[in-house]
Amino acid sequence: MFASTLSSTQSAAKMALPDPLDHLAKRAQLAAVPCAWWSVRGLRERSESLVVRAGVVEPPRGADDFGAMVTVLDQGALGYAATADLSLSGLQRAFVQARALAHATALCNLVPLHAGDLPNAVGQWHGPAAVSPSQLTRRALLDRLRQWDTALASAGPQIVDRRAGVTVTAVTSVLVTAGGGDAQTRYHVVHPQLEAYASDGQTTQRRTHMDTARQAGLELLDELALDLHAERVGREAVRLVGSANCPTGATTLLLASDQMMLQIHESIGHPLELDRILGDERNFAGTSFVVPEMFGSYQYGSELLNISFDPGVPGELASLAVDDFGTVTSRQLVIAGGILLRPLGGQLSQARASLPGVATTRACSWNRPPIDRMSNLNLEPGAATEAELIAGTERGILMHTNLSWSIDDSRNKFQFGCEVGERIENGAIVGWVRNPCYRGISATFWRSLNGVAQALGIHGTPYCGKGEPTQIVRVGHASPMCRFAAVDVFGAQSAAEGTK
Amino acid sequence: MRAIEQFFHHFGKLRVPAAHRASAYLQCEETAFVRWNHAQVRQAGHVDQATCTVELVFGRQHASLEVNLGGDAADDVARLQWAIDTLAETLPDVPDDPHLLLCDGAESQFDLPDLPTDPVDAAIADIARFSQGLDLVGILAQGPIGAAYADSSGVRHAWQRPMSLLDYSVYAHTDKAIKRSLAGPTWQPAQFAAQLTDVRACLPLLFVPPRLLEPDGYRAWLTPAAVEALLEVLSWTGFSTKAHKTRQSHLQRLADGQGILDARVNLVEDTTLGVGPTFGPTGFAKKSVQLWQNGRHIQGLCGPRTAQEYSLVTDGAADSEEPGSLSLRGGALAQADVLARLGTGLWVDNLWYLNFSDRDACRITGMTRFATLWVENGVPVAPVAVMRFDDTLERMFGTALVDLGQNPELCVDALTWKRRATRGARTPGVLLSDWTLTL
Repeated sequence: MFASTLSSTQSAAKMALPDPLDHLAKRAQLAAVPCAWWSVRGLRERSESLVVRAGVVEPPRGADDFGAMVTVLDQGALGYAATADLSLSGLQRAFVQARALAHATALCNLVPLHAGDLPNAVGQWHGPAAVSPSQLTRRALLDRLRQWDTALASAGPQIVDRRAGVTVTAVTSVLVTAGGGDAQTRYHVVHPQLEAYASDGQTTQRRTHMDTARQAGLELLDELALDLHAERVGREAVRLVGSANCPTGATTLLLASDQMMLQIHESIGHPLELDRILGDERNFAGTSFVVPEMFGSYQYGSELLNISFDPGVPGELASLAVDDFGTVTSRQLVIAGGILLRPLGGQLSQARASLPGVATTRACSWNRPPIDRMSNLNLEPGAATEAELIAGTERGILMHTNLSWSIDDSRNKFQFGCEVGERIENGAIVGWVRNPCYRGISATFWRSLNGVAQALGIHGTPYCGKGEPTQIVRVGHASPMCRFAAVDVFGAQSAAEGTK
Repeated sequence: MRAIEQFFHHFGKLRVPAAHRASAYLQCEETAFVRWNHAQVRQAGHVDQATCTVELVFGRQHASLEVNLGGDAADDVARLQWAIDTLAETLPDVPDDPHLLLCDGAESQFDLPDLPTDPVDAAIADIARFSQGLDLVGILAQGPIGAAYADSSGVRHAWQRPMSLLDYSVYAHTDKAIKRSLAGPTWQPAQFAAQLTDVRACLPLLFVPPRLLEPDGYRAWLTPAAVEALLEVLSWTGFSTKAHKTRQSHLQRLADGQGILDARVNLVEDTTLGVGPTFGPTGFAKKSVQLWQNGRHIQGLCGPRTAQEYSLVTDGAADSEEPGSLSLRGGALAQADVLARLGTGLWVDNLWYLNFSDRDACRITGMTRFATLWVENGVPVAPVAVMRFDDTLERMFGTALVDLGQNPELCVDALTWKRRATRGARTPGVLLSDWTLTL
C-alpha cells in the first residue's frame, strides 16, 4: 500500500518518514501542563482503496491519516484539543488549548469530574492478519478485482453498471494517561465490496456483497469466497429485474444474517446507547424509547432473544481490548432471554446514569472525542438450522441484504427495505420477489421473534454515524438467520405506475 | 488561514519527476466544538486539521494520496514530498485511465475575506446565560474553514470563511422540541437571544397532549428545513449524470422525461450561494447548473470523469456528482398566509432519517421530528406523535403541491463527518394538499 501495506512492484520509497506515533508517550509526559488529569490518544490509519468499475481500473486512492487528541481535566471540567503536529511543541500547544477550554467551561459543565473518576488502563489489542497486505502486490490485487469485475458482468447485457473494490487499512493507536495508563492497538481492516446494477429500461435493481468488513489480512478474500460471489451478485441483479414485486400484508418474516445486522444495529444497538438515554444526542442522532427504569426487567424481545456485547471476537470489526476513554473491555450479555439487562454505555455514562454498562466509549478518529458506541453487538445463535426455520414456515418472505433504512429519533418506528426477497409457501422457497420492505415498532417487533438459527454470519460496516461533532465508526454484528411472526411487508409500486 | 498561506509555499518547493503532473487539494479548519446538553457543556474541544490530497499523473496513469499537515513547515514539505515520491513508485502498477480529464488552463480564483477574531469563550458564556431555564441541546462549531488547490500547470485556487454555527434544539419533554440554527461569520448574541425569545413563546404548545394520527393522507406545510431534508436525500445519486447514464438515479423517470413535476418547480445547483468553495479536488471551477425548469429535468451534474466517459462537458462537479448548494425557487405563498392556507392539517418543522422505499418511482419515506404540529382552522393546537411518511416526489412536488413559500431560506449544513461541511441549500417551504402518512 502507499503507506506501507500493499507492495509496489517498484522498490520501496526512497525516503522513509518516521512513524509519528513513535515515542508519543514520552513526548506526552514532557508536554503535559499542570492539571488534575490528562490523556493523549494518538491514532494513525494508513489505507488504500482499489476499484475496478465496469472494466476500468479507477485511480488508486491512499491516505496516511494521523494525529492526537489531548484531553485535560482541570477545575472539574474536561477540555480537549486535536492536532496533527505530534512534535513536543505541537503537543504542548494542544495541552494549553485543552486546559483553556476546560477552564472556559468549568462554570457551565454538565459532568463535573475528579481525577479519580477517570481511567488509567493498561492493555493491548493485536488483530489477526494471516496474510499481511504487504505480502500481496498492488498488481496482483488489481488482477483479482478485474476477475471479479468480469464475473459481475457475465450475467449479460442487462448489467448496466458494476463495481469491484477493496479497501485495506492499517490501524495503530496509543492511549497514555497521567495515571500510568498505556493502551496499544494494532490491526488491519479489509473491506471488499461487490456491486452490480441491472436494468430492463423500466426497473433498475441493485445487488451487492458489501457488509463484510473485518479485522483481518488479505486471507479474508479467500475465506469469503469472493471469486464465487462476484458471479452470483451479477446473476442475482439480473434475476431481480425479472422478479415479481413483493406482495403486501402481514406475514412471517425471515431475515438473513446480513439483514439481521441492520435490524440489530438500528433497533437494539442505537436505542440502548446510554448517551442517547441521557439526552446527549437529542439534537442530532436522537433519543431512545428506552428509559433507565427498564433495565433489569423490561421484556425487550421473546425468550429466544440473547444479545451480547463481545469485544473479543477475533476478526469481528470492532474488537478491542481498551476503549478510547481508557476502560478495559469485556464480554457482557445486554439482553438475556428477552430481558433487557444493561445499556451500551462507557464508564462516564454509567456514573452519570447510575447504571451498569459496557466499555464501549469510542472515537472515530484522533480529531473527535470518544462517545458511547456499540462496537461488536451480536445476537447469540439458536438451536434450529436455517432449513428447519424455512421448513417450519407455512407462508412468509425471507429477505436478504439491506437496501433502505429509516427509523424514528426514539429508535422505535422503523421501515427497512432489502435487495432480495424469497417467497416461502408450505415450508419451501417458491420464488423471488423484488423491492421487499417491512415495517414495525422496535418495542414490539422483537417479541415476535420465534426462530433463531444456529449458523452465525459475521458482518461489519465502517458507517455507523452519530455524535456532535458527527462521527462514523466501525461496528461489528454477528447474527444467525431469524424468524418473526406477523410482520407488515410490502413492495414497491412499479415505475410504470408512476405516482400514488 | 495559516494553512492556506503555507500550502502554496510548500507546493512550490516540491520536486515533481520529469514529465509528471502534480496537484494538491487542501481542506483545513481551526474549529472550537462545544457540545451542549441541558443547557450545560457536555464536551468542549479544539480541532486544528489540514488534510492535503496529492495527485500525480504520468500520461494517463494517475493515483492520489491524502496526508495530514501539522503546521511545521519543514515536516509538512517532507510529508508532501514523500507523497509525491510514493505516488511516483505506484504509477507503474496502474494502467492508463480512459476517464482521466485534467483542468489544465483553468482560471485561478481566490476568495479570501478577512478572518475576524472571534474567541469562543464569549459564545460559551452567552449560550449558558441566555438558555438558563431551558433544556437546550446541540453543538457550537466556531472558527475558520478553508480550501485551496494548486497544480503543475499553474492553476491556483483558495477559499476561506470565518464561520460560527450553533445548531440546537430546545426540549419541552420526551421527543417534543423546537429546533433552530444560527449561522454567521461570527457569533451573534443578539440574534441568539431573539431566537430564544421566540422559542420560549412556542414551547407551551408542546406540553399539550400530542395528537395521535391514523395513517392517511393529510394537508401539510413543510417548512424550509423539512424541504431541505427532501432535497438532501434526492442529492444522493439523483442529480448525477453518471447515475442517469447507468440508470441508477432515483430521479430516472424525470431524467427520461417520463416523470414531470409542477411547472412552478425550478431547481438550480447555485454555486453563488457562498456556502462552500467553487472549486474541488480536481481543480475545475464549479458552475451553476439548472437542474429542473418548469417542473422538467434539464440536466444533471457532470464531473470530469463522467464528462470524459460520455464525451460531455464537465460543470466541475465532484466525482460523486452530488450537489452542494441547491436553490429551489420560491412561489407565491407569503409566510404570513401559511397557517390560513394550511387551514386544518400538519405543520412539519423537521423531517428525519429519509430514505427510499421505491427508487424507481422516487418514493421517499421518513419521520416527522421536533415541532410537528396539528393545525385546526389556521391555529396550531397540539404537537403530533411522530409519524412516518411515504410518498413520491412526483406527488409532493407535483400533483399534491398547492404552493411554494414566497421566501426561500438558506439552510447551512451542520454536519462534520470528517471535517465541517461546506454545503447548504436555499429553499422555501411547500404546502401540500395530501401527504401520505403510513405508520
